[in-house]
Amino acid sequence: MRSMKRRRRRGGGEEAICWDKGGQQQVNWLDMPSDVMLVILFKLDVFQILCYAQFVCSSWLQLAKDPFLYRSILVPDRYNSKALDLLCSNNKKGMVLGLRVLKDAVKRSSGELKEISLAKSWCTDDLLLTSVMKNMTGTYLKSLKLASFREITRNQLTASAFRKLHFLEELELKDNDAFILDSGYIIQIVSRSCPRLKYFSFINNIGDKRFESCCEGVAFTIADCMPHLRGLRLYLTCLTNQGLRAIIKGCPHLENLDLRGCCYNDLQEDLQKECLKKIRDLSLPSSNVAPLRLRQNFLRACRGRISRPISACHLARVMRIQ
Amino acid sequence: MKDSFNPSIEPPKKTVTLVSSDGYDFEVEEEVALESQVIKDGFEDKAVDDREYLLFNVHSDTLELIIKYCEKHVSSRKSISAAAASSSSSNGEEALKEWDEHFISVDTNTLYDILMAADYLNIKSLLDLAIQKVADTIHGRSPEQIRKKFNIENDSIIDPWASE
Repeated sequence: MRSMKRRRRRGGGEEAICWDKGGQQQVNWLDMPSDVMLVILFKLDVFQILCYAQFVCSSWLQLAKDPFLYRSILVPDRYNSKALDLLCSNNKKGMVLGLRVLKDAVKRSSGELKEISLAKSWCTDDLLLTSVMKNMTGTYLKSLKLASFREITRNQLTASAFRKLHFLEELELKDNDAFILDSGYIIQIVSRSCPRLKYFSFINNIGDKRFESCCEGVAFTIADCMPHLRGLRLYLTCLTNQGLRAIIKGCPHLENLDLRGCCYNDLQEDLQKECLKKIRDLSLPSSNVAPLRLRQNFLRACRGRISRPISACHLARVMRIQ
Repeated sequence: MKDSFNPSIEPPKKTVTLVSSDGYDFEVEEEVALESQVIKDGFEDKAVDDREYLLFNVHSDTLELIIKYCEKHVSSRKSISAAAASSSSSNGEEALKEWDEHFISVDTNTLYDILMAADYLNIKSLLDLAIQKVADTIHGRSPEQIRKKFNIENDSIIDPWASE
């Protein structure tokens, strides 16, 4: 039952009310208050704004220059739009466009940029990273997530790119096979240039046996160079008791440790107890996670913050191991 | 549509009158009107017998939709909290989301009216819903398609990338 009644208003007061709007009248979207329109554009990502929306009309172009829109540059692995997927596809043209869009977005952010997350697989070259970073002097970038970079190499350009990120608090490197080989070097650069770094994720889902020795190196380098870490997520093909022990000792502020992706089968009991005692939110490796499942778990976990409080499922896992 | 509401057991509701720009009166329950932050802000200062709001920017067709939305949200919020209190599992939130989805699936003119009204009345959840819908409509469309969809004139802008 409706409590609402509808009737024509009687008596005086009609003059005070404007009657103009006919039902069939065409609305003008450009009359939209600019703050509302800006929020609409904010919901789109940089590719959508810079390749399409800004070319619609001059007032949208004006709005598209607002630094507010470029505080987060998030490029998903794939768009749910064919046109966009085609636009930034994994070829030369898509690469050039991607470079241009990212550079432009960084430029327009005029120092407001706080977060970059690139999951797009066309980022096959460190050229991209470095040319984007080049424009980044004076920014307060807090979060950087790079996935599927295959050719980031041990060169001066990469190093100088990281050296500009003094305010970085969160770094995620995912599926970078070159990083595995040069990881020690990269981690050293990062730890030296980013004193505020608190959350570090190192994910290698490739699972190549060749990298086993490097993996142990990663653990030791983290333990050596990043004593201020609050959260660490390691998905390595191989982690040893020594490596874990070094991390526990080297990073005394660690509150959150996620080792679910590590293939690690012989956890020593005393070490496990030490981990449980020192770390508030601990996820130990479980060997019964299939690689694909693992990837999905990871994606789900990525959506939350690393510093989330201990969850029921973590507790259950820890209890089961005990 | 709303069967959960039974006037025989609930005490008589206080009502508020909303007047649309084209002069229609809408009598709604107080809590429905209070979904609007603008109404809520000045509500306590107004005398009880003078709870009438002239909404100069909202046409009656739009206001009817807005009231429908607010009534639905008030009633489902109640049923969700009731389900939570009796700890019975309910998919109230899911159902409401579906309802919202259906509600906002309107032509662009109506969407514009809803968006403007939600902004004017400051109904945050409805504003978010409408903004997301517009963004979804823009997503994946070329400039030409966007112009056509939203009936925007092409004022031949200068390519901001051309100078590079």
